[in-house]
Amino acid sequence: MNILMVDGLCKQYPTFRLQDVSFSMQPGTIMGFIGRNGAGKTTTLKSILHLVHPDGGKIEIFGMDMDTHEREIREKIGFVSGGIFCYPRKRLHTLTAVTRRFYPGWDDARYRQLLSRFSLDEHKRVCELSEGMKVKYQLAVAMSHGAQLLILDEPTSGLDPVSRNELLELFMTLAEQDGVSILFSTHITSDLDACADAVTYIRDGKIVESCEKAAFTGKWLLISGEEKQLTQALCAHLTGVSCHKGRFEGLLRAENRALAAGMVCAPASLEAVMVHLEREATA
Amino acid sequence: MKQLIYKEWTLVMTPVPLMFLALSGLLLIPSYPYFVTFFYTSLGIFLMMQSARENNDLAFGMLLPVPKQAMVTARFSTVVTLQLLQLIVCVPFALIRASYSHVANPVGFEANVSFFGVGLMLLALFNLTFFPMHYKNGYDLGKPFLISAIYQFVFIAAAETLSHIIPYLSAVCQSYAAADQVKQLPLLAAGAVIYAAGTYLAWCISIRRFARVDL
Repeated sequence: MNILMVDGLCKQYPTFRLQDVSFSMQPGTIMGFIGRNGAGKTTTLKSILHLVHPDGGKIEIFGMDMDTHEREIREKIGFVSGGIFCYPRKRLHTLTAVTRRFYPGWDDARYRQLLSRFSLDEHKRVCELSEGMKVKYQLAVAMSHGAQLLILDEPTSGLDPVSRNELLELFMTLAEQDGVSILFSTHITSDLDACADAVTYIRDGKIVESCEKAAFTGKWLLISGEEKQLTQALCAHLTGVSCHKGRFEGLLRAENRALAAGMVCAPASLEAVMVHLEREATA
Repeated sequence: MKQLIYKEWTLVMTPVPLMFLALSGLLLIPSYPYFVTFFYTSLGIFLMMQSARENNDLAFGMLLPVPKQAMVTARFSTVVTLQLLQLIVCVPFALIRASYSHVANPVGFEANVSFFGVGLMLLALFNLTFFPMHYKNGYDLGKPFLISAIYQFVFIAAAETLSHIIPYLSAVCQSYAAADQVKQLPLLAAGAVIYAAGTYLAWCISIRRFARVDL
């Protein structure tokens, strides 16, 4: 059973349109939801969370329809945002005292254990926490009410590399040890290189691809070389070519590897694939 | 619902509307437009909601496992509680004011039973204008409050004017005499009915409008 299934999601805004967005997630996996700013990531997440009203399409979480089982679904979802924090002047224990009342399955022992594991002092105010600690607090709350699906919206934006790495390891531990599924929206694709099992790529409100990460990046090679090596035949097969300082760089489909003989040829990272596909689309 | 009400009083409530309850003491001033006391209640509610908005209360609430309309209902419960508390806190001050009833209030209604009746109508007007406008998007507060304040002051001006024109209002409703205060009870009852109906209508409209909001 899919933990999350989005089918044909549509939403029209005056200057933006989400068109036929469809993808699904398997239990216990981490899915990266990538796209440039304004591509439709947040609108899709808001639709999944029922914060906006889609014009069409269907969303099922844990096999239940969000329209008819909103409460049950919300009890098993955790939303973690890297940018929006509520009640910054309140102490953590005050926020927890309010939040826990909404979840019949709240596990206080687990909450205490997570506070200790994340070195969180619940007597601190939200505004006294670092950005990384704020995300950890949200995760502690989500895990304590038994969230089985975590929806993360840019959780690592604004964090230093060490804190980012710490969080990524935590996400992987949650997925591996607790069987939690994680939908991870970000434009920092390097985060996903480390932890994602699958990737959904959205551009201009449309899903370009949704598949396993290895399949997404594996079909591309990142080619670079001297500009004089860029023949017309090669150029026709390259995606998102850029030329600077006498060198070129572009994506080449793995099956055309022979065309890149004598050039620098490397497996493409998520970032390289996204950047070059975006460049190709806007060329 | 009780969880949401707990959230309202733990997170949303600020000291301001509670401190404004003490402004019921304005009823002790011999010459004062006493309806301003109720306006301060509305101002306190407005400031409380402004604080909630700046603290991202909407985002906090929307991610909890509760239906959207329950959030509106919880907010109305807080508002109604504050407004009724204001009425209760006003009572002892009105009784003290009655002890020097020989000093007439030249600038408006006396602090008697009829004052509470018209005050309830004023609160109903606030609820009916402010909340449906706010819940059009769950965000705007300044414009709804400004428009609501204009309506409230027009209403106060109309009530004070009518108290000089309509004999029942001028003769019976400006008195502290026990017999006259009994005759003022229909105005209090009318105020209570208008407050209940107006607040219920404001709640229904707010829920309907908020359900359509994309956050």
